[in-house]
Amino acid sequence: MTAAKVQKLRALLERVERRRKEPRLVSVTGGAQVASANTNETLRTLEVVPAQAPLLAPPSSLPPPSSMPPPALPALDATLRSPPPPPPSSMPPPARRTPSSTLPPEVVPASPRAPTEVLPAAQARIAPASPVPFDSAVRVATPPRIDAPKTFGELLEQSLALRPRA
Amino acid sequence: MPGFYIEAMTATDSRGFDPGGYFAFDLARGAVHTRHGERVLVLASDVLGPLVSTAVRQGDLTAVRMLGKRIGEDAQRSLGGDVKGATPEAVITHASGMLSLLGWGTLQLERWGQALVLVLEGAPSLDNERLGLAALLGGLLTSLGGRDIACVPVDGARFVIVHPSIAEAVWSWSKDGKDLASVIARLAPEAA
Repeated sequence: MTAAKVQKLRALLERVERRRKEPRLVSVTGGAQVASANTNETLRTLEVVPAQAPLLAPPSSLPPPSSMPPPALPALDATLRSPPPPPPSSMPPPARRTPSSTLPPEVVPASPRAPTEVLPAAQARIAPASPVPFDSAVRVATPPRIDAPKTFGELLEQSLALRPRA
Repeated sequence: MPGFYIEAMTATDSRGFDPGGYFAFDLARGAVHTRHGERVLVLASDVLGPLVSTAVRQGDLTAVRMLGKRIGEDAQRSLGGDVKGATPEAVITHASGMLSLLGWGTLQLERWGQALVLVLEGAPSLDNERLGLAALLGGLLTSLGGRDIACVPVDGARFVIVHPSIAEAVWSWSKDGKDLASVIARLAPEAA
């Protein structure tokens, strides 16, 4: 075998190997981003947002309450079932794309309720102006404490200010 | 909604009430004094009851109210600071301590919406309508609050804390059989 043939064969093997790897990265990206951004916090945010959203967004822009918990699932399913964007010509068939068992543990989504597609929308309802850390977003969405601690004098004055209703 | 129950504040403040040395028994002179120098009498409750009942019938509970004021002053001294700026728990700790020390039962404070309610448990029975205890607690709170305050008996051992100007109205609702929640639901903050 000539050196040229060997080099050609090697190039071919490298291309095949690249093809095998490329789709894996593409398909994992969404889940990996969610997971690496701390899946727990993401989930917490998603769970909090529907309850608080009516306070911060105009009602017309929100889904009806019945569809709130959890809006992510149908979206996720739809996303997963819909055909992927047109792969590059070198992309192998979807069947070969990274089954989750081959993913490293840190990029496997902890729960199917953490879709990348839903997260930006949920955050936008909490903090439309600028991206906010998840923890801050949750704190912003939490209603202020209604019953702040009061002194004895304050409580006493409140009680003494009561009068019979008209 | 003004009538819902929020919380109960019991005598649990960390700066506890100190009953030590409150009474000084001077057997040589046959006198009992408090640690503040006031002379007191130790009475059987079944003696005090008829006296209070008589006062209720005569419509004059000034003496009982005065006793409550004294107890409130002692509680204030025991607290050792600004009563109005203190936490409700701290105030109740010392007020309840004083009442317990003198045998008037234990005190608890409850919040029902914006209304405050005192709960006096283990108190001696003085009169059927508990107006004697109401006068005692009214005097106690008048000392602590620095202004005239009335307590109206409603529902068992509970007394609603109100402005004296509406005490009669609240008392009439209570006599009509209204329970505590109903009474409080009839109250609203005074319009500014």
